[in-house]
Amino acid sequence: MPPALDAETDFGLLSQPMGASQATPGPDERIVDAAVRCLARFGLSKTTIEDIAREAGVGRATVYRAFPGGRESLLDAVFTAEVARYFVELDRALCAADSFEDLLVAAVGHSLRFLSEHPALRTIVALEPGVLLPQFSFQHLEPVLAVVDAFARPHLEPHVGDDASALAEHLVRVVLSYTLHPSDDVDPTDPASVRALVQDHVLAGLRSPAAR
Amino acid sequence: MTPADAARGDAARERILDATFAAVARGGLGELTVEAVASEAGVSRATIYRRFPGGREQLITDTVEREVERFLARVVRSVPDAPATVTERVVALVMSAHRELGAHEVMQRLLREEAGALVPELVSFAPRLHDHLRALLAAWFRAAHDAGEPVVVTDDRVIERAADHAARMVLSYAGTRGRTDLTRERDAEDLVRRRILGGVLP
Repeated sequence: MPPALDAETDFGLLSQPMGASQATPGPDERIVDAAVRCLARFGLSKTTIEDIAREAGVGRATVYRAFPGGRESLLDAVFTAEVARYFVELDRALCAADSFEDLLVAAVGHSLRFLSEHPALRTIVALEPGVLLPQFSFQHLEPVLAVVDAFARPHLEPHVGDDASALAEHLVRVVLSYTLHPSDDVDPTDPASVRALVQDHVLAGLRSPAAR
Repeated sequence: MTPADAARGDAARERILDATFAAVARGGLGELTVEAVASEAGVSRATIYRRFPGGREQLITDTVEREVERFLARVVRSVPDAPATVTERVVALVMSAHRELGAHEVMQRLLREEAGALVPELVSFAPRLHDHLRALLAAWFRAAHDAGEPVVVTDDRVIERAADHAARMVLSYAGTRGRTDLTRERDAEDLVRRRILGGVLP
């Protein structure tokens, strides 16, 4: 089993560890959490430092002390913290899986739920589609594939060997397709539905002999 | 309206969309104005607003729509008919979709320089593109089954689900290159067998 990724692991994008695993939130974390709630309500361009300070129950000066770079650096911290939370939770789900099939179901199910239920993501995609959608489309998706590959390869290698990177990439594509363009057939909140997707469309192909 | 009027109307509409495409190709999406399209097409602004009441936004959406339809037509044209097997057809489909996207110079430049403006437009057409491909793939799966090819999908419900998923994956792999070199037929065939037609082939 690969070592568990925790919030302190230095992992590329996640180089500023934050949040999810700490028991008592510090002021920075409270401000970041408040920012996520504001983004869920107002979207990206309309969320101000004043909104976030009010939501966190602190003064503007406290926000600027915690994030001297102001709005930009606070929003960067929010992004970093949410990406870290995604990977920490995903790692926990993967480490709990007993079989290869369960591992794939956990990966796809957790990712579909995280993306489709994330309140700030939903608002930003609905109100400001030009901000996030390009990061997940066409050639702009390549850096995302690289980050997921680095995370997922150690989990997948014991099961599929050299195919791990290509399989990790395929899982990203499956998750993004069903997130951006939901299907009547796949319900992310229903484990049986996610399992059927994995069995019918991911595992089935892995049994096929390679073309060469 | 007589058929002759309708034909003249279609010709004018096409000319305005051609002018929109040319103006975007020259100056990008952000700089596009109704005035620029009017002068490019040699018509008045009033003519444009009569045919495109949504103005600039509608010009962009309708031009993107026409490009998407042309893209689909070019892709489908390059796929061989029976007696090609379903695998051969899907390999041709994903290779030609990838090639056509890469060869669309205006789209590629906008993706580099104005992705924030273009991608939401393209994403809004994705469901329709997906529907087209799904119907096409479902017909191929049925034909393969009827021709006695070894496919594991037999009843309509399973065929529809497999076609839905395969259409998603064709679009994904054609749009983002990732680790697969889709200019190489062998790599494309490997991809199709293992990732796109996994639920269809034995």
